[in-house]
Amino acid sequence: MTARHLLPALRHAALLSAGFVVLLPFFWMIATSLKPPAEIFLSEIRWWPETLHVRENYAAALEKAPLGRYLLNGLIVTVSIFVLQVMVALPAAYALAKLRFPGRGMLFVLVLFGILIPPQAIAVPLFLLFHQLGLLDSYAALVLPFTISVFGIFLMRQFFMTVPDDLVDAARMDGISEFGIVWTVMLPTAIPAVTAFGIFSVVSHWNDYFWPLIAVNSETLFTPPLGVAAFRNEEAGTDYGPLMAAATIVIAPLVIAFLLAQRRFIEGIALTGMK
Amino acid sequence: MSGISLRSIGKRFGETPVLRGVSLEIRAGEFVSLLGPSGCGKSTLLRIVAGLDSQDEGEVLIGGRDVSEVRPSARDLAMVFQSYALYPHLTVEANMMTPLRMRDLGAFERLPLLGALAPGRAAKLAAMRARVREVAETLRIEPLLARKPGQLSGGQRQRVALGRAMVRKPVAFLMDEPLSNLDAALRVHMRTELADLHRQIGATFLYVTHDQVEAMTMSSRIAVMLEGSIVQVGAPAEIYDDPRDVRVAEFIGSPKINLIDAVTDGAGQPRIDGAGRGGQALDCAFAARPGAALRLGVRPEHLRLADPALAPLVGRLRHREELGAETLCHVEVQGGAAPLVARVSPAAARGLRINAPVGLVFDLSDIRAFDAAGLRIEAVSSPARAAAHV
Amino acid sequence: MSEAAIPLRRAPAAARRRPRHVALAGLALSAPAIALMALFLIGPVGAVIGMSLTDYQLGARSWSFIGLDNYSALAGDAVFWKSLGNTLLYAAIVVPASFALGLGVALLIEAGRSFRAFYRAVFFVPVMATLIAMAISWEFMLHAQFGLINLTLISLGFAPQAWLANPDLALPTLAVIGIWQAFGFNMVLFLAGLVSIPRPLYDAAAMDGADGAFERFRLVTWPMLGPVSMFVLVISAIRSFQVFDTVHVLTKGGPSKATEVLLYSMYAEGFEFFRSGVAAAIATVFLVIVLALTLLKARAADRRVHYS
Ligand SMILES: Nc1ncnc2c1ncn2[C@@H]1O[C@H](COP(=O)(O)OP(=O)(O)OP(=O)(O)O)[C@@H](O)[C@H]1O
Ligand SMILES: [Mg+2]
Repeated sequence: MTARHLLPALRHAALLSAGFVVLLPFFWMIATSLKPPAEIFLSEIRWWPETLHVRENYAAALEKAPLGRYLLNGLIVTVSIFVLQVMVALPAAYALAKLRFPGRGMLFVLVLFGILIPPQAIAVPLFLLFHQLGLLDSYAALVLPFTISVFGIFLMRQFFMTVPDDLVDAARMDGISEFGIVWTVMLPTAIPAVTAFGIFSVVSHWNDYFWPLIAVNSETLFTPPLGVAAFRNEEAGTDYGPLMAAATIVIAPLVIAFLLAQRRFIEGIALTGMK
Repeated sequence: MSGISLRSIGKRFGETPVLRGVSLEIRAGEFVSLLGPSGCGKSTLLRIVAGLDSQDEGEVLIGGRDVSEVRPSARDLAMVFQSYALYPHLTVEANMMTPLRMRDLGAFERLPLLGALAPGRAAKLAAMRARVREVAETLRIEPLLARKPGQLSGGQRQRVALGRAMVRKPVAFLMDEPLSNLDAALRVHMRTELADLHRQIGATFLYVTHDQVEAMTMSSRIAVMLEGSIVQVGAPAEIYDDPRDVRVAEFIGSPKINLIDAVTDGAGQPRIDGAGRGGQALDCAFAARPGAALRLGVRPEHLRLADPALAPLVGRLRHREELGAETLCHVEVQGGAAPLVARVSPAAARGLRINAPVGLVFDLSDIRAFDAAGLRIEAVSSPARAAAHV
Repeated sequence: MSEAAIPLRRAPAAARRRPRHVALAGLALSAPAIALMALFLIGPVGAVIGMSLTDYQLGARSWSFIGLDNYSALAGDAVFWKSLGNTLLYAAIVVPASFALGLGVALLIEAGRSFRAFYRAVFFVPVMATLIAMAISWEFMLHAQFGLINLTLISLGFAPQAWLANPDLALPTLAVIGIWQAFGFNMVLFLAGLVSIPRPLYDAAAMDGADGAFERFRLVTWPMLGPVSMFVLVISAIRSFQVFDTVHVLTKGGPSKATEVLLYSMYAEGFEFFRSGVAAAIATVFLVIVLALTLLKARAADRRVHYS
């Protein structure tokens, strides 16, 4: 075999073995979620269950914890956050990109500064604020702090800067108000950027653990990460089958969505790099 | 359809004045070109007329009404942008309908879903569609109505932008270099189409361009704008033949007009500095003080080649451009700064070698004289139409 | 007709209304963003710094201004230093490892043409899978008796380990999970950097005699990736400083403070002991570190320009 054939083979060998290691936790989680207890607590490696325990484990998981409720909460919270973020950020980004108004420069500086602030650093005063408002342990507590996405404002402003001024002027000549321009002209031209931001926003808030942990107590409000963590604490390492089933259910929506639209997901999440 | 009056419009960006007291009367139905070099403030003026920018001084009247307080869309003007500014997410038809929807549908009727409930909306929409079709027919873009702007060629986009401007039957059309994004052949074609269109709909056109050929070929009148002021307004031929300012003379015409330095003698007759057989005054007189410095403008097509012994201007042939139908001879005149350019028939230039001595003659009636400040000076007595043989 | 010498006169105030209309629209459109920023972002930053100078405790009736006492208390607190040290150690493991793995995998993927999208997706899955759920899977793989890892070690003839219960191993174990989760993200950044290296540079290197893979890497790839590398380094550092989820679920800072990290200390002070003032002081330290790293990133972004 010549080097010309050897090199691609080596590349695949290296990448496949690295990929195997990377996917192992996923595989092990799924395999365990299919095993009966006897095959889980085994002193030898069993890659795939001999008797499948699918129905039992998943039914037990769904019975012991309201997983559907957690997923629904995750959906409600991430979608509300995203919709509100767009409603707040798009007009501001349009104003920053295309309108001259007093304080514009200052506002942009604040936006840039805001991007630098890690959310965990301001959790204490935010907690106290929601405590004062009596809003802790509610959907509002999960959603409101994230309605302002300075990163979203920045991103959309950068995008709007590339939209020609002529288009805005044409809309004005056609009689569209400034408010109307945001939603009927800018939003449709910005769909790719909004999509990327949407993926970024939904993935980061679906996976967020820190703030929900602080903000809510009631199980009915748990988001998927809170829910699966609570499940694990109750099980205390005894019943791994249902626990792994629960974990599988929690990561499934995002992973499936990712596999269906990899390119968009990678673009969207790589945005965090700009943050 | 109505006229537009601009009354001493002034505009500054920060401290820099961009428009300095621009006044212009555009009569109803006229095609006026605003012609000037890049950066002279043409777009700024157009945007002020449109209401997209506000002037610092002066006023804009449309149909005799001061519109300074009126929003752009309420001025009933249409604008065609250099970049066309079509809504990329809407079809051609939807693009062309937008100004009609905004004007003819109420806020409720425009709502995405609820709007459909409004009584009479369907009838209004049908009327709008009919109007869009009508305009599309005029512009021959009917087959494109269902496409998006991204699927159109430059020329087609151009037509859609025109169509969007036309559907509303505005009182006037404002166009900011609408042809500059087209390739050369299409530009020539669209020139004819625009002129046709103007004849056909008879609306008022205010057309911004820095291309003199566009301005010369389409306009009823040209307003030449330089450094924020309108320097001259007139019919294309008038601007070319009778420039009131040396900058206008220089800006219009290609190749550029030849400028020859001269000094007037006691009788107001110009004497060309140290040139050829010169030293003698030309047999014409201008309204200038004795000893005043003049610049004599002669267009290239008015210079003819002649025997150096007899000509008022003598020099050497520096360079020759054969253009087929004509030949441009660049002649370096002793004492002259830039070479003079003569546009002659190929036959007249044949046989001339580079560096050969060449004489140049011209009719005295073809001289346009400018004073030191660049303003035009009239000839005192119209000289006989004789060659400048002295 | 030359320009008429009409003296310029001031336009009526109404003529200036258009820009004012635009200015009003600008203010109106950004008003919600400004208000929410003040309430949920800029205000809390001020509050967290202010609170760090008080002895406020949640639910307490009164509080007083105590200057820098919280900070001097932290400076004298061994647990705080342990927590800071653990955070630094965690970053010191995760940053270089996820950098090297990200770069290596990106180079391998770019080296061939087949299955690029497939490999990219494989290595990216951990980045977006819910970390809490995956931490639970890791926990089971690390199980002392029935975990895949110890079973593998035993079958290879090594001694099994108590990965999360052994103070010497707990933090490095969490770091491995951190690396596993983070390097796919770095890989994506490196892939973008690799794609943007102009092909002709490699041709020029080949003409100059650098045709071995390593030579090409040293002469072209590595220098051209300089700005991306800087960027990846800082991003990874910032993210490592934010480690919390795995600690909270798997070790709760133990055993014997071996995995106590900055955010976990802040969380415990603020939301378990409700000593808001102390938590605010830790948050301020955290904020300062992250801001300093971000300034580094801004410098790196500046350097990017020199390469374009
Ligand atoms: N928003 C602005 N802020 C500052 N200066 C401006 C602004 N818009 C235009 N200018 C300046 O005003 C002058 C005139 O600009 P304008 O766009 O009217 O030129 P123009 O004649 O249309 O040129 P072109 O043929 O290149 O389009 C230019 O010097 C330009 O730099
Ligand atoms: Mg212009």
